[in-house]
Amino acid sequence: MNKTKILLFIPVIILLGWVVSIQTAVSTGTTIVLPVRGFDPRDIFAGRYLAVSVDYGAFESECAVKQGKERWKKTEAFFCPDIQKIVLNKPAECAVFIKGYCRYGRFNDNVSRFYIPEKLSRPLEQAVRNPENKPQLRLRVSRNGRAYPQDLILSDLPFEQWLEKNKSPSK
Amino acid sequence: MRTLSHKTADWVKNGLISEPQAQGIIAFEKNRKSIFSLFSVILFLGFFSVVIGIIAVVSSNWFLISNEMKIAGLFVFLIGAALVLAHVREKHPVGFEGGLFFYMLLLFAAIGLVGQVYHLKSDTYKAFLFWSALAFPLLFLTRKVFQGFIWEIIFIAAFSCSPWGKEFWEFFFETFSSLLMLSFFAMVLFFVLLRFKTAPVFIVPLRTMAAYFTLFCLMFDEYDYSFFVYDTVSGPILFLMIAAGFAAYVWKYAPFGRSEKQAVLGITGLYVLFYLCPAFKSVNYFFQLIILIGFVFTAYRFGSEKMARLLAVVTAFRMLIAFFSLFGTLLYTGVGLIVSGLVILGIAYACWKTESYLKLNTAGKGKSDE
Repeated sequence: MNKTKILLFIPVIILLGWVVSIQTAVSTGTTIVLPVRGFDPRDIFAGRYLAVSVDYGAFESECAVKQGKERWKKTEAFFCPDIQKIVLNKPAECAVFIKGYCRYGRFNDNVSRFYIPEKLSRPLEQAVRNPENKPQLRLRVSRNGRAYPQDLILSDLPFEQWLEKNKSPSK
Repeated sequence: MRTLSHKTADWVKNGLISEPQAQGIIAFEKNRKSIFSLFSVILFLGFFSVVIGIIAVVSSNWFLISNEMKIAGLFVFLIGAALVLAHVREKHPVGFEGGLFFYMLLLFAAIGLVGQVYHLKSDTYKAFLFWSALAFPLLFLTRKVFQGFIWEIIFIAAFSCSPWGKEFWEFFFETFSSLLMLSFFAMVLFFVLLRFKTAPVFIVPLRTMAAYFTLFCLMFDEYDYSFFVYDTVSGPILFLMIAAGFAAYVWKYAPFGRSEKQAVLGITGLYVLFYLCPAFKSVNYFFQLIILIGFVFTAYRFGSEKMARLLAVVTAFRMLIAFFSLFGTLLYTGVGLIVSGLVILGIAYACWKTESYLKLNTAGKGKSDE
């Protein structure tokens, strides 16, 4: 392989390595389902998506209690689904955890968006805003605590099935 | 063709070419195959329709395509593009350069697609920094400085927006809080890179941006430049050390002629002198103007008449900025506009006179060097 081919293929190999690392983390990760809030902005590079954030308000949290006066600082924190709690120091019994940080008394993880088909943006936004639909996100959580969104769940159904079920008869 | 006839007639008239040569040139240009032949235009339209059609079909069914298919398609496309580019590099250099540019764009699209498929959260600067890392090896394949410009601008912007970049700039502006210092450092970078002949794709954009930045920083009024307004000693000491180091480099190691060295050292001296002066608006304006005029002379010393002219225009522009900021209220009256016009004419006359003097000076110097 000559120099030109090597230089042209370096980006492809790096991209491949990136995709493989994400796919491995997703495949070997543990599935958990958490409640979410969301709305639908746009991204000029990646298209339409639901901006979602996991609703950690329902869980007990050490963020507000233990962060003290330096609330503006990012302090490493973990959400442990086993004990349904946000903790600053990860307990040993917490096998699965989402890694994030506390700031201003709130826990922030790395989950913030869920891409959706362009046409479905409006009904999905309305559905996610309605608490009766129990909007949830199915996540795959890797061993190092990174969460990858897999599916949007509405009324205990994947969003596509939910949309099918809730299709208005007039259409 | 009419333009060519006029041009060749003009060349014949001025004795540059003979009449038969002019006829030969016109005949050659007439018989040359144009890329805009009927066949090539129809061929282009055909390909264009097919490609746009494929993009439209894929776009409209985007969410029916499985994620696995999207990722597989992406890599097939990337590998195909890389193989085609490798194949055409020697045979069609122009096509290769265009293709390489689109390959770089494709890498950015690839980052976006992977982010979409896996629903990844990412700050914009991370995507651009990642793209910079991916596209970096490709710069070793291009001969076009333009691609180097694009890469360097994106990299610098992405780095500046990153937390590391913010920390770097915070440190920089805390230590060197003046535009004057920024201008000086950019000038140092420019002169260090000036005679580099290797790796033009990397060096030329960096050098050009440094030159523009040097001038840009001299365009504004500021009051915080002086030695006397610093609370800490680290900034002034570092500045003076860098200035001394640069002067030593220019004198001992820079690949410049004697008169070129003198010009660069003169400019460095002006910056240092400017820095040691008390901070007043008038002092600031005066030294900025002197430094800009110094750059005009330096450009002549380096044998670049074109650059000297450009710098003279920049200097005139700086004078205009100062004039408008000083007499801004007069602009609402006709008198203000007349005065402005007369000042512009005066500047034009001064530029013309300075240029004539410098030309004479350069010619005289050339003779005495011989």
